Amino acid sequence: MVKIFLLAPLLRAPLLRARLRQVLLCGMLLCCIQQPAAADTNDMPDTAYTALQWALSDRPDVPAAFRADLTRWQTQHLDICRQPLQYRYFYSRFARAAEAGNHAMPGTGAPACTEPVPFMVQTPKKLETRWIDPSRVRAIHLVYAGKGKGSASRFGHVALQLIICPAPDAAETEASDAACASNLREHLLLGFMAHVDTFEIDVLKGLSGDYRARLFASPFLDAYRGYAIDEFRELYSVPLKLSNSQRGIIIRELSQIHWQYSGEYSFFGNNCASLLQRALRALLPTKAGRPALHDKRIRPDQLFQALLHSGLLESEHINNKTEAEKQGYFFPSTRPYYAKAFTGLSRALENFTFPDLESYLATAPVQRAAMLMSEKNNAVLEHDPHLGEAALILEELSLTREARRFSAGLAQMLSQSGMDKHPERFRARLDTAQQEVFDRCLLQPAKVLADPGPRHNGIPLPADIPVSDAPFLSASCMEGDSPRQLKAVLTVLAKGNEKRWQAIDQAADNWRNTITTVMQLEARLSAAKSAAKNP
Amino acid sequence: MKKTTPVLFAVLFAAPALLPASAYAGSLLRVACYDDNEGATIYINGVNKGECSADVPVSAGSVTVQARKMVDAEHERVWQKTVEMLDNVPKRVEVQLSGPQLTAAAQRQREEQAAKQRQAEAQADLQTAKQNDVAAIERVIRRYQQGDGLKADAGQAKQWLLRLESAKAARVLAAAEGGSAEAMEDLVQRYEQGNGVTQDAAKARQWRERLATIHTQKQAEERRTTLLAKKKEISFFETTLWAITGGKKLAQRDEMSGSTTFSFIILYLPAWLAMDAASVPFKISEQKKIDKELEELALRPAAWGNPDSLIARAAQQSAR
Repeated sequence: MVKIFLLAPLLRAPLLRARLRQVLLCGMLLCCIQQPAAADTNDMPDTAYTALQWALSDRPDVPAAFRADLTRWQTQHLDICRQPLQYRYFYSRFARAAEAGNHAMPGTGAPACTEPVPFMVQTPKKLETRWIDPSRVRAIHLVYAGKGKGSASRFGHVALQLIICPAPDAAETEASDAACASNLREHLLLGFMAHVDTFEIDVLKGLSGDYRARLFASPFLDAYRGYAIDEFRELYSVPLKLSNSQRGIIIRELSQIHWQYSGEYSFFGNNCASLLQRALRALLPTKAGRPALHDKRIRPDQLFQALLHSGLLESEHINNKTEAEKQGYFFPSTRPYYAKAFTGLSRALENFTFPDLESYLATAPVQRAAMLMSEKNNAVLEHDPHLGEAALILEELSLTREARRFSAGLAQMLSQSGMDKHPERFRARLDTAQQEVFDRCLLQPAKVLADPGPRHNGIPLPADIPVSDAPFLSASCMEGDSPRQLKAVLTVLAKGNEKRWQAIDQAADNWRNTITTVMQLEARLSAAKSAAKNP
Repeated sequence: MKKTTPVLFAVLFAAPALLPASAYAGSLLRVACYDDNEGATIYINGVNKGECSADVPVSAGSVTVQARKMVDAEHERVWQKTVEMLDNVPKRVEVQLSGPQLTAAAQRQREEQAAKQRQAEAQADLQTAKQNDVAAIERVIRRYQQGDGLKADAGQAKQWLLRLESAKAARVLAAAEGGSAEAMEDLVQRYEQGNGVTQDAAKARQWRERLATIHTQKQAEERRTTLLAKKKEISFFETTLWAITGGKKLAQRDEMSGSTTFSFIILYLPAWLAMDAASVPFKISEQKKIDKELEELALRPAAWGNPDSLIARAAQQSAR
């Protein structure tokens, strides 16, 4: 009051009155706008926000993004279900719970985001959207695929595994940890990888960052098959140390990264390890200072070792590999199992004159089948289901290898034909009917697969996610006259590549012969097991 | 003249009545032949009476009239009729010769020739049968039973019957050794019953086991053939899908694996086109069966190699 009284004479000055009016008005306006906590005078992004943006983009304009996000936060337009990363950041920084409806952080007493989150999962046949309820995810594991034979696979691979529990039973009983762990068919693997949009991988593009990098989602068993069976590599799967609420939040944030992040994949510097490291810094902001999350240009094997010793993982689970294999923390290479199968067969079967596993697998499938189906060997395998299964798994291994050989041959031939780069030139060599089938059955699926998909500003709404239930290859391509037309198209394609085509044909023939043997052995094994159960 | 004809007829017809009975007993048989029947030789009760046509006096009673006319050295045409003659009642028959047929002599000659032929064949069969030829033995048995080419002899037939089973058994054994399932079945019975072979339970068991193996192999082969046919329809597509599986995973590896240089993009291609030109319908049900089989592939080696592993538990879960 005293101060106002003393100021009274000044208030009579017109200019001063105008200025004071402005100040008062501004003050009134500012009171209506939600202001940061009094302690915060910093409207600049900090390291945590920077880490967040780097998890969503390779070249973020951090200050601009911060201003936009801050405005959204302040105007309550930041949606916890759409941008969980930003929401969590602003909530924890400014300690202010959202007021609107369901938009509240867990633990505040207000309802949290309960929506399931989507992932676009690449299965062998199609892309499909899977909606994951975070409450059904029992754990998030760090997966490390051990070193492979190839020169470029000597550093391994890292990814995250979602341990998804089976759906609740009718009594809504929560699944046990063991049930969740063994529910491998539903587990998802999330890993940063290159989206290769050509028939053959261009190593130079991989080195220079010309492939898009994304956080891909795929079935865990597909990865297991690829690493442990195709390439004889071991897998470690070590749980992250997370509370239930942390886990729920991280799953949503992983979904946001999955739909939003698009970067430039580079073998050096922007690979699975460095990208995962960046993501973990954003996902575990209170742990971001750990050295394991700060190394630059880190390799997958290095990241794995660093994380094992960082206190971020339940590393004790892999101290004993035998126990770890029982619990699903370690998946050894399947090579010893195949070797054991090979040894068993070599001791029990007649005319089994192969020196080692590789030479056995290199033998023509029909020759192996003739040996397996001989009168005496047939009797031996029928009477010993364990041995019968040994024969089966070796044939299945052969199956995967022949598929790879076939694919590699086809890839090379198609790449050389230029079909992917200049499809119009190739089309010009076809007649009208062939062109129609070429477009529908070859070009269109290739375009779908080559398209990395749109990016979203956060987790998309269901309406924003394209329906993608159709298989890559339409069944219509194998009906009516389509097969004949497709054959004609491939014949045009194969001109000038006859030798390679023969090799492809041979690989496909081997594949077919092997699957015939596989089905036969499987049927015999089923019969033997039934006979053993019902003597 | 007019005045003499009636008198002449009366004398002619009355003459037989005016003659003393002891002068003509019987009647007159006119055998008439016309057209190509003319020239046939007439036989009355087997006695040649010359050429047709002729009036032949015959006694009363049953008279057999035959007519024969040679066509060539071995063939003749014949006719025969039995006529009942009454005293003093003339009759007339007209010959209608048959088509050409073998003369009796020619018939006999031919029969003799045939008999000689049969004997020769029988001897040949006998020689062949001695070599254990089953068909020849069967013929020899029949010959001895029926006296066909060989003098009928029940004892010989029986001997050869025993030898037949032995020969059959030898043939069956050869076929069984060659892998014939039917022969093996036959052989099992023979050893069990001592039919054509010495009864031998051990050998019967051996062949029974071998037969069981053949059946399993046959079933396996049939299933293989069926599967091959089915797989031709869908395995081409499966190859594509498998290629997609393998390629996708490899293409999206962080490390450009030295063993993989291809992208998943190519892998949607219908691989069956590389194999066979058959235009085949896509069988969803078969596809699902193979899908299931291929899904198990991921779990099987570890489940087999280490039944204590998590993979083994996951495999058991899926089996349930």
